[in-house]
Amino acid sequence: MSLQALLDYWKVASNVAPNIVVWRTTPSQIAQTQPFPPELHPKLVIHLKKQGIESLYTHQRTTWDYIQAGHHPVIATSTASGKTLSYNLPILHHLFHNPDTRALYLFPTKALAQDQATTLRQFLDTPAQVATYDGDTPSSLRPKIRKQARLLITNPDMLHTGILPHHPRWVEFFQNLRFVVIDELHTYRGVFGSHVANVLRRLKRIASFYGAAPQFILTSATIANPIELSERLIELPTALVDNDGAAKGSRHFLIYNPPIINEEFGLRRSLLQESVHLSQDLLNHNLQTIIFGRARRTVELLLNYIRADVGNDVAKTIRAYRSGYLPQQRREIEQDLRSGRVRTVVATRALELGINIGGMDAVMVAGYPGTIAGLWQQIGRAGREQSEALALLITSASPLDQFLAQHPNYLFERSPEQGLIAPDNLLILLQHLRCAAFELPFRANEKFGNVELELTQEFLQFLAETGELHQSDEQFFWMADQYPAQNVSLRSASPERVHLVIQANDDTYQTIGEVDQASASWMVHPQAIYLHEGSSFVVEQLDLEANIARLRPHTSDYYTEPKREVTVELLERLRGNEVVGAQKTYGEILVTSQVVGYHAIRWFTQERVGEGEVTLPPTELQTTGYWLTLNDTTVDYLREQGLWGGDPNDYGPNWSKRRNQARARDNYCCQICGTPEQGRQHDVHHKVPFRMFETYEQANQLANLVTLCRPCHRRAETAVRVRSGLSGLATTLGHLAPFLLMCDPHDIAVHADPASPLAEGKPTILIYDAIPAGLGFSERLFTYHNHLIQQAYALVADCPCPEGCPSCVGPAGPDGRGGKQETLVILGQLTNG
Amino acid sequence: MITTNLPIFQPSKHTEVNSTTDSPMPALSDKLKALGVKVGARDIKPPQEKVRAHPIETVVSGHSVTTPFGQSFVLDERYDDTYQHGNYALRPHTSLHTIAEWAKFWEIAESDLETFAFVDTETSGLAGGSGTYAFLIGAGRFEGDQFRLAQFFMRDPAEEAAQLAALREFLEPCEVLVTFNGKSFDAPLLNNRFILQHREPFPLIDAPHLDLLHLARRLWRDRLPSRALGDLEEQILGVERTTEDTPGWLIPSLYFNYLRDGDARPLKGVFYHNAQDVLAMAALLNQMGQMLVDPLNEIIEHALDLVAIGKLFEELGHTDVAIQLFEMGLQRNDLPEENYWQTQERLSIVHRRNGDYTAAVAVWQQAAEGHQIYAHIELAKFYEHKQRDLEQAHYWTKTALTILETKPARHTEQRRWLSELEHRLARLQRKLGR
Repeated sequence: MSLQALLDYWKVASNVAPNIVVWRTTPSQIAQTQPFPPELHPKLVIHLKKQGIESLYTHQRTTWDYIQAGHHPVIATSTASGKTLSYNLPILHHLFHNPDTRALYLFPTKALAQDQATTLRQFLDTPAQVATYDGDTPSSLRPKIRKQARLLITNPDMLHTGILPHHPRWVEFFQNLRFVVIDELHTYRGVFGSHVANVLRRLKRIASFYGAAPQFILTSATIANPIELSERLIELPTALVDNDGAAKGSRHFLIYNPPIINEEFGLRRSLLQESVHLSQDLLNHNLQTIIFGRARRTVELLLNYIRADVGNDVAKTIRAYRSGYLPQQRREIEQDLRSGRVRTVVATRALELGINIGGMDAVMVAGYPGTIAGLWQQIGRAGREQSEALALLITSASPLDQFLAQHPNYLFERSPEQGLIAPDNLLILLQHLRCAAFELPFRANEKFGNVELELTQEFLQFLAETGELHQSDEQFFWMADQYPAQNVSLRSASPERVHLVIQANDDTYQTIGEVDQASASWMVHPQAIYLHEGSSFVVEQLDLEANIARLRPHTSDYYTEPKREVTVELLERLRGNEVVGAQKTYGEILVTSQVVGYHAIRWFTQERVGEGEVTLPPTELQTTGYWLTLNDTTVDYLREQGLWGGDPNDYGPNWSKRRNQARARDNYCCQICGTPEQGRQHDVHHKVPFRMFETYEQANQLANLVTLCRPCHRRAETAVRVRSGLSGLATTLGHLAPFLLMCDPHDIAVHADPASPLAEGKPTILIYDAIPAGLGFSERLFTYHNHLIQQAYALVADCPCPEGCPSCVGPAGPDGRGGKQETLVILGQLTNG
Repeated sequence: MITTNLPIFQPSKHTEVNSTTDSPMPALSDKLKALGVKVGARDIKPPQEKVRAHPIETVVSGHSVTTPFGQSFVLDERYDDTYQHGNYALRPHTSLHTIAEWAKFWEIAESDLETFAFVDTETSGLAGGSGTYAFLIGAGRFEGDQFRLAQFFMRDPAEEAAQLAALREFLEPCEVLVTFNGKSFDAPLLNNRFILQHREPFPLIDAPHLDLLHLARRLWRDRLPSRALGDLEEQILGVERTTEDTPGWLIPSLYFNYLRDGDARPLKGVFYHNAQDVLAMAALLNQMGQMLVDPLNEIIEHALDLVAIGKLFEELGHTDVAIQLFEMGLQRNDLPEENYWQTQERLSIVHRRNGDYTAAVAVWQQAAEGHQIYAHIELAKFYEHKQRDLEQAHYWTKTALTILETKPARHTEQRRWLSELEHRLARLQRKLGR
């Protein structure tokens, strides 16, 4: 067998074997089945038998039983385990018994919707009873769909802007709405999930107006809290279905960590090159493979590199699949994958979710996709019911990837990932209350979802004061010449957005996208490089009054990173307690940040090639944060550690001359406390550490030297080391937090301060929600403090770099803060005191 | 997990500030503002300053009616048959069969005029959707020898159920709906309102519906710069609205202001505006009926109208009438040059479709003299395929190409013609053995 041949080869190949850090083989699993429910509609039995299905997997049968009992099931079984049939079966059963029954299917993407529609139509005599309804649906077809569709497949955005605000056109649909399917529950997290939870509150409100209370069926990838997330989302008790009875073939799971080529900087061989190299082995062994890349750009690069090394005949069997391709192209590729004509497909996560292409011989994941759930979904594409399959993760140099390469157990044990939402975030809630009031007047005593009655009333009063609602006869009526849903993006917390415009040839402007106003000053400050759909733009002007950023296409080999000055102010401590070595706190804070300039950094080499200054007003972010304040014992211990110092440095041949010059210049007095030398010579301290300079001449310039007495020198050194340690720890925690929170790294921010205003000037690390009013990320970190610290310790301790690298505590910065040792000492204090 | 609020904490700056005020928690509006919510710059009068001194009853001479859903305010007025809206009476005095044929509803020609409902709404916005209200609904119908115009006003959104019930009662005898842009706006909006309040559709939603805007577009697209109802009143009916009229874009905000301060006086102009719209619809239907009933014998003032009516008749399949109307239009001296050639082309196409090549060729030859490329091409086609006169076909192809070289034509059109002509030329030269 060719897969076996390849694995045998990799086991011995000198350029492969040493880099395989994980090799796990999961045995095959025999299907666990149960008979069809006796009451199952005979039409369905016939359909299933025609497809060769004689029984149900255990989880499918459990779902059925839960639905018949009136529960709201959450199906959390593996990819390709037949989740779709689990919910289609009961829905079709009810539809066959009562042709008036309506069901709403919510899918996060349009591509999934199309696929689902095709599947469902096979069961129905009248194909028009199944319809997709989204932005692509021609308006001429819409009235017919509203009238005829029994199973309506749409997405949250369309429900939000296109269906709910026009609910009187959907009277029959809402009156008969019996089921709501929410597929891929885990994608509804963070800001998006918090919005969707409110869209569902609106949906239930409208359904209830027409006398319907639909039953919900949810599916989820493996996450730590499917029940919690689903119950926050639909605000109803849910029942977990996780007795996965699907048959699985045996699978080899490998993690390939590209070899280190530069120890000092922790540089590894490029993910891209290694992926291309390994994909050639897969091609040579004739294994049908999906290669997942993280971004469209990666996908196109991989495709070109892989094709470049093969003949034309083979090149034809290698395709790319990503968003931005026409639906027709996609269908063609899917078809060719099923038939085996296409041997290798390089894809983004567009191919990850429920699209029917059959099982692959191998799946190669080029770079950790950002969530463990996502990784399993991609890997789940490997394997058919019986045959052996290969799943290969190639790790990049990024901290999360490296953490997984060092700690693969994380993948195999219970998932740590928690889907978090905060439907009651004030800004998000405000926007949906406006939409809801537009849809139906609010009664004075009406609750909105689980929002406290009092808070709902406060909001309605607020909207009445701003003139959007009119209060009369115990009701609040929408009274504004607006269509509020149009201005509410489900992807952003803040209602204020900055439009990104480029000038077209003929003096007209074209909007290519938008960013939150809160993010505008660091994402699109003047001279920033902004990446959009793989193209580079340079920002010419940012007008925060008009909410417009003017961009110009730009071909650059660098990107920019903003230089921010951040100050933090305490608004209110909400919770706090002592933990080992520190005090942990959760509270409300005000973060004022000002972008003062930027660094230009060359792609690939990460080399700084320039910098600039910008003038922008400070922006304020009121949010929630979790902070960790080192206690005195920890600081004292570090101070002691500082006493031991490092090995004596060799400061070069001119050192004793320079040293004496500095002492003479400083009048032989300590420049901190003023004490003159008495008997013993004072020390001479490098303001910027010696190792930061390329030559000793530069390091030993007089301007960089200062005379200090012994005690002051110790404190100065300690301060540097504590600061390095703090900043290293902040970097590490910032890297790890997304593992717990399933959030985008941009959703949180870290800030280290040796003298923090949050804690009476004590050394403190702060992690906060980068979203106005917060989304619960920092609260969750506060709760999971111990777990976070333990993982951080493991990450830093197990990283093979000597002094700190981008994969752990961050590289040595301009002021010498690599701080791996210091970080470890702090983490040691925080784990065992 | 320990989640106590530890008392050892110093009060933060924030709480200190607030502890000096009566309320320990900041108000929601302050919190929202702190989060960056921009509160509208509009100067909003607080509701307690309501001036109830000028309710609607003191502004227009309507009255309250009682419905099963409560009270509603209605302004009910009657117009005698002698009333003229501009130069036109309200009651159509001709057969409406052409209009019925165009609208594809025979009922328009055959139903009693008393079953026609003329409906126009004033709304809280143009966005549509369930949050847009029709706060004033004007409805007119013929009753005896009068035109009865009723305006149903929502003094408060809580009165909507009653407002719609009163409207439904008024529309009881009606079977045909006449609107201006009602197909895409008023009818679906009213349907929404009825479903929301009464869980049943707008009673005329499935009735034969004549949308006068669509017909007006057909008739005056080329002649008038705007087909808005106000402009048609002025240009077609000869009506000048008084200064009492309120411009449409201002209407939603006047209603919002009224809800806030209770002063109905600024709404007087909205009632006037709405009434004028309903009257204009009736008069316009009369005018259109007159224009379309027998256009060959009617005095049609503008050549462009003759052509537009010709096109309408052509579409309805009455090509004989269409040909005569086109010819009448072409003979007039007030047809702009561009329209002249377009009409000629259209006329020639009708002839060609009728198989009347003699007439078509006559038109083409005349147009060819006027350097109309299409005519050269048509002649080339005619001689090649009908007459089998390759020399003539070759001649017209060459002349077309010559004109194309000298005449500025639109880019894409030019390219299309050019490739077509070059193709034809090559084929003809092959056939001619050149």
